[in-house]
Amino acid sequence: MAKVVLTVDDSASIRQMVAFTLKSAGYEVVEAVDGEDGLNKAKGRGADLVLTDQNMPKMDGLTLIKSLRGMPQYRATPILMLTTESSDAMKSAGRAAGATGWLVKPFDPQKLLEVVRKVIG
Amino acid sequence: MSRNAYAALIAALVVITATVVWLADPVWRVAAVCVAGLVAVLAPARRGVRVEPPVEVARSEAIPPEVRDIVRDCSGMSADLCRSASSDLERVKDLLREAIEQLVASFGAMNEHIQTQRDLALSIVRSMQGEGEGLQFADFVMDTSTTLESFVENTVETSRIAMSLVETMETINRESDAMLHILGEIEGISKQTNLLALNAAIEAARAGEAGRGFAVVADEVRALSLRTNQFSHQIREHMQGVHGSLTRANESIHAVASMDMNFALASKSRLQDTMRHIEAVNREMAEAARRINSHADQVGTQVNQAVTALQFQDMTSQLIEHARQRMAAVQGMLRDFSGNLSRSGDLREGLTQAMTRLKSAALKEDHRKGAVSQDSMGSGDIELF
Repeated sequence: MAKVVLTVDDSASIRQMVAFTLKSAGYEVVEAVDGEDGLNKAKGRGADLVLTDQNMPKMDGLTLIKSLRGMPQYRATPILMLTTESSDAMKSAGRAAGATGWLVKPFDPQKLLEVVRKVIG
Repeated sequence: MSRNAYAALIAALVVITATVVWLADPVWRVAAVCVAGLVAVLAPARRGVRVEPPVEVARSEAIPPEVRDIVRDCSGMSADLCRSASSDLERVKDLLREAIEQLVASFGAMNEHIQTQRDLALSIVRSMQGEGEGLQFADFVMDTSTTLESFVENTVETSRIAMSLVETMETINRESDAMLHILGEIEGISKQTNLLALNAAIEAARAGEAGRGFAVVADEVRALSLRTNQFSHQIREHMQGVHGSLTRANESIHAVASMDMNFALASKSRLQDTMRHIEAVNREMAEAARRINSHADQVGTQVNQAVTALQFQDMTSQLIEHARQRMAAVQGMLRDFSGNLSRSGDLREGLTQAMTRLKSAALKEDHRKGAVSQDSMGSGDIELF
């Protein structure tokens, strides 16, 4: 069965690009428009990987990661941050919140696939 | 006129100049408004802080009411311009978002179509090269060619055998002729024996009673020679029958030996040509498929690059949003500043409040700075913790 990736981003075009990249490699992609939507969708159906933006309305990426890590179901699920933020301070905050990795936008579809394959196979 | 009043006048003039520039060329609209607005507010405020205590502005009361009105009106107009610029930025953001969504969808579809095309090309080549099920055309031609080749070889062998049979038949004919010749000799002997028996019978008759016994022998010898002649004739008839059969067999063998093999040889050559042609077509098909494959890979790479590049929308829309927020802050400040001036007429109080608002707006800058730090479209770093 195809692995499920939850992509959380307020930019529709980024969601589209992530979905297009991952679907072409056989993954199933669930889209969420912000952290709150992402949290609800993560509760609704289990995801094998969460790919989230940082700056979003309603709930940002770091808060989403903290909330997910608080749920037993997502304690060990890989969570990647995909954001335009690239400062070391933000990365440390991400690591502290429980992020598995940090990807700075813009992403190269091929490299995104490599990272996704590395963390969930 | 005090230095503050002088500064306010300069600021007002800058604002007016900016407005003129803006009217002349819309491109300068945003820049002119920002510069004019900030200069109008900051120049007097800074001077107030650094050179003279702001309290002196209130004390001096040297600012004529008409200057104050001009400053108020300029602020009001600048606020309106800021609002227009802000709504323009909002529209730019929306247009970009819509266009990029369509572009991404188009690139996605393009990539899918290219992949489908590649799969089709590969399946054609696979079926041409006989990887599918059932008898393939190339196999069929190959089988036919092999069959025809063995047929031609058999025909050549038959012809060779027929040629040797022709020689054997000639030998048999010669033997048969020799036998007929010998038969002629036998018939000659038989005739002479008959003559001798006849002479003996005559001599026996002349001898009278003494030759009576000899006459009986002579008659018997004559009868034997007649029977010999009769057998000889029968043998000759049979031999002639054999000779006729041999002649017909000879004709048939000649016909087989000289049978035209050109048809078989031509067919074989045509089939070999067809085989070579099929092999060439297969090679070309494989090459075409390989090229289609590599083109599909290249399109995939290009689409990936396009997808990376198209993400500029995510960054620019954040940057545009930041610019819009700054514009909104300046607009709010200008609007309140002109509102305050209308109500209280206190320029110093108005400027102090404007400065406070700008300071609080400046505090948000640190937060914005980190959000988008990229200055090129190369793909970003990846770090796994």
